[in-house]
Amino acid sequence: MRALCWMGVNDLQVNTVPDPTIVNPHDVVLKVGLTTTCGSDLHLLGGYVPTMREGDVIGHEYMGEVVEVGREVSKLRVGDRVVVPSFLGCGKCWYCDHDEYSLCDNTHPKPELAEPVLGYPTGGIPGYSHAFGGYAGSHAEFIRVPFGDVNAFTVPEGVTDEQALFLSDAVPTGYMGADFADIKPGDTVAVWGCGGVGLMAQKSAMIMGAGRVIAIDRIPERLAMARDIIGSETINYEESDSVLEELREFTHGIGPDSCIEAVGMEAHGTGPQYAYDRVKQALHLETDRGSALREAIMAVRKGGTLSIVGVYGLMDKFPLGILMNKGITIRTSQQPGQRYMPAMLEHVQKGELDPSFLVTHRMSLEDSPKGYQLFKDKEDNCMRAVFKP
Amino acid sequence: MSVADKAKDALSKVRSGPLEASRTLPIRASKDEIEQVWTSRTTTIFDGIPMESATTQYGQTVRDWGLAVTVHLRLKEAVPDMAANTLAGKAVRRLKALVETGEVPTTENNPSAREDAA
Repeated sequence: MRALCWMGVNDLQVNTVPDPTIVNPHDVVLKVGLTTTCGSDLHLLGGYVPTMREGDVIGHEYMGEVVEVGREVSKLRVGDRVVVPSFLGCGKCWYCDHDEYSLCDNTHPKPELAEPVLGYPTGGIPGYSHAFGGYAGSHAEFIRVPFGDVNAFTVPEGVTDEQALFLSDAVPTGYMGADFADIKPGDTVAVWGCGGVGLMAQKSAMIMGAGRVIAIDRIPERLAMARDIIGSETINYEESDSVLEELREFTHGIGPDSCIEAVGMEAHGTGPQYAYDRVKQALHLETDRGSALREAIMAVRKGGTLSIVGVYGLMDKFPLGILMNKGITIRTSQQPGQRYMPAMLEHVQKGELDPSFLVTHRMSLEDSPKGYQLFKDKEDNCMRAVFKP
Repeated sequence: MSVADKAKDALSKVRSGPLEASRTLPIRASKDEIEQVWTSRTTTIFDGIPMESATTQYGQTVRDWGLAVTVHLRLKEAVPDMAANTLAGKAVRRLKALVETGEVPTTENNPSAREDAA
């Protein structure tokens, strides 16, 4: 089959690779219908995620059709149209039993790579380095999904492929971000980032009862999406004298009740702190540029909640003292999409949530390196490049 | 001393760790179920691990986490420091996965553009 492979830092190539097969009895194999770029892929491309190997198939946000099932698969049938959350659960361990599927004990083939870095291994995820399992990713014609009955959700009639696609990662990550923000009816929620996840976090916050949602970014076209499609109020941090002062004004001097950080380790910013982060990151002395996160920590009101869905590694100058002195609650995780899937599907079916506007570029798998270049450089107003193998 | 010789010298000084290591994890099953898997799936549990001998020890049931099971591993030869713990951890994780799910997570036959792909 053809597949998009990581061949080195900023080097993606479409190669012919072996097809996946049923290996374990609970596996299913899918013919990939649609698969999309994700902001966290940029950390792989840039070499910020260790344990990538030349030739790895990337991609972790996808939907498709079941073409083969293992002998212990009981719910799914060949021909079923399904969507799969990025992180894999087994459905049996303590974590899966408590809806913490991304923390599953039994889906990481190489826990010895994760333990030294994290303390304990997460669940496995396809296409995102060997430290996160090493499974081949979804930017391919076919993909093997362990524990298919647990992880692959049937897409109901009336939900399009493009809607279902984003229920794999962007929607559950944003939905989780809003869930973690502990939103009370009428709360003001500030969201850093108007990429796919940030926009979904903004929409989810509204669904969960936020009275005002304020989106912060620097790309005019993305801020326009936040305003015109989602209905958020917006701040362009490159045009603002002070995001903190604007948020203070917006909230009558209180500060947002919750802040959701959906930018991650490659945040852009201004000022000496940003310059410091850029230099240290370039020298591989830290992995993170934390401008957005530090700003969110400063902005949230006393006693408020900070929900972190951006992907991070190692950050210098993390303002722990601000969190402590202001009594901030932090919640963060990789998304357990299996927990939220029934609710997300219901929102889509009712017309309350439609992520398909995120598709700005459609192309074949063969053109996917170009798709990543557009996505990475934010050219041609690219929000998400979606590949059809 | 050449760079290569210096590297070899440095590697030779990596302290060899102990021959024995132990790791504990809770497993959500009865002792009998765990024992049954432990005795019947040895090849799978210790695949790639230079094991001379291994035993299990059962502790208490930890709330709803499961029965605490410790795998004691004795290796055939010393490995670099900390690696023994890692190998014991791999063995107990495989035991846990086999008992709780009936399978071990694997990247066998994993598609890739490398020559060693299936």
